[in-house]
Amino acid sequence: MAEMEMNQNREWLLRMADEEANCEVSAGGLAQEAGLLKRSGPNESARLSLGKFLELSRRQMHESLESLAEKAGVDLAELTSLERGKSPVRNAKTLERVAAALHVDVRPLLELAGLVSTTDERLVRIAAQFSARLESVKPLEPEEERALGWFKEQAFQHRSKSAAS
Amino acid sequence: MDEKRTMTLNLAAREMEVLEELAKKKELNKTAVLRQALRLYQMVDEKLSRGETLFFEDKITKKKAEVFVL
Amino acid sequence: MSRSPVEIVDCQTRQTVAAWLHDELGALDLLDAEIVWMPERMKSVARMLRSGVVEEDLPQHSHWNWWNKAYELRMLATGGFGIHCDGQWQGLMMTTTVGHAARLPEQLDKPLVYVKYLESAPWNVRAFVQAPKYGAIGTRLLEAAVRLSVAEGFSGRVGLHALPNPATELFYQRRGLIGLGPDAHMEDLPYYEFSSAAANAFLNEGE
Repeated sequence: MAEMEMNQNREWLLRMADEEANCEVSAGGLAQEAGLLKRSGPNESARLSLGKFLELSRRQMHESLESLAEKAGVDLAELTSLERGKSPVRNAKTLERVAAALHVDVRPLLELAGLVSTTDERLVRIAAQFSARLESVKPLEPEEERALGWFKEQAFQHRSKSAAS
Repeated sequence: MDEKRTMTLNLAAREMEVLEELAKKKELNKTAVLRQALRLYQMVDEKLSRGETLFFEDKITKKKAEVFVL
Repeated sequence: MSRSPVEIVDCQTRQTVAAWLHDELGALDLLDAEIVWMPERMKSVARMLRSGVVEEDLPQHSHWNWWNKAYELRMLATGGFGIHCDGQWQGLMMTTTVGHAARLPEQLDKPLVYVKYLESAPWNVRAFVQAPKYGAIGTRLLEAAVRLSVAEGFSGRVGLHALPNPATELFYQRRGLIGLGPDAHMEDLPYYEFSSAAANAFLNEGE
């Protein structure tokens, strides 16, 4: 084929090289045929910490899920899923928009989400401590108290009835 | 491989209609359509020669119809 | 075989380096690459195993072999691309123009260039070495795929299945490819596609 005129912009090229350094740019057919199908997914607890961070930051700004989703220009369901932290984060752009709306740097969030390689080992430890800190001192909400009371009554009452029979 | 050779092609009216329909549908010029057709023919022929089987599968019924030769 | 001048990046000096993009690879080119790449992959694997990396965590495409795919180059539909620099193949890519069509709604069923295989030389990949030698290889090959698509009259449309790796997927997302999720016909590998508009924006980004 005719000679290709390739892009000349050096700044762009250096930026691309920097981005590629964090990942392996490859096409999947190769991976499929060579057996590289083990997913190196994000760490679940890091994702939960990320979700908690987003939730608390949002609440600190007195924003509801709906209002933040609108401000950030993201889908409400995606934002909810991000805060819950249960599913893998697939869309970096959503996270970038949410970070911008919360006025925080997106880079650590991308690392916690597993969307970029973690370069800061401290970050994972900090995230784990953050979650632990919240879990240990968080008082129960009234609704949580009621639900817990109901569960204890139903579950343990059921067990003591069974034991008696 | 940039060297191109020219061929004159005689097509029946209906064949030309089909070529034009495909060109419009795929947003390609007629030459590109014929080039794609040639590539596809070669690929399928090669696979059949190697003993592979070509099927069409009905998406709904999942019924398969084997293609033996082009 | 034709070739085009292209620049890549020396990762150590962060300087751009002159290379060649070859676009009509033959079987011997793939063999030449594997003669050098395979031993390097194996050395890296041995180093990793000795340092305590467990087998499941090895970059398993150490089993990959471009020579096994050489027969595909006989097809008119197949494109073989490589970046050559410093006396070695630094990256390889194989494309096809048949058997795949666009899946994005705005270009559904239109022809596209499908990237079947794309790999950088093991010394350029962080999974294999601590200090990769050359960078932007993947970017340049992706650019070549888009330019091929334009030359074929496919308006820049490109499709590929990405490595199931969040960082790799982020790279494609940032370039403007849209992810259509895991593809059950390709062992759940995530499928990505360049729309014509996004592909042209990608080309313009680097001008």
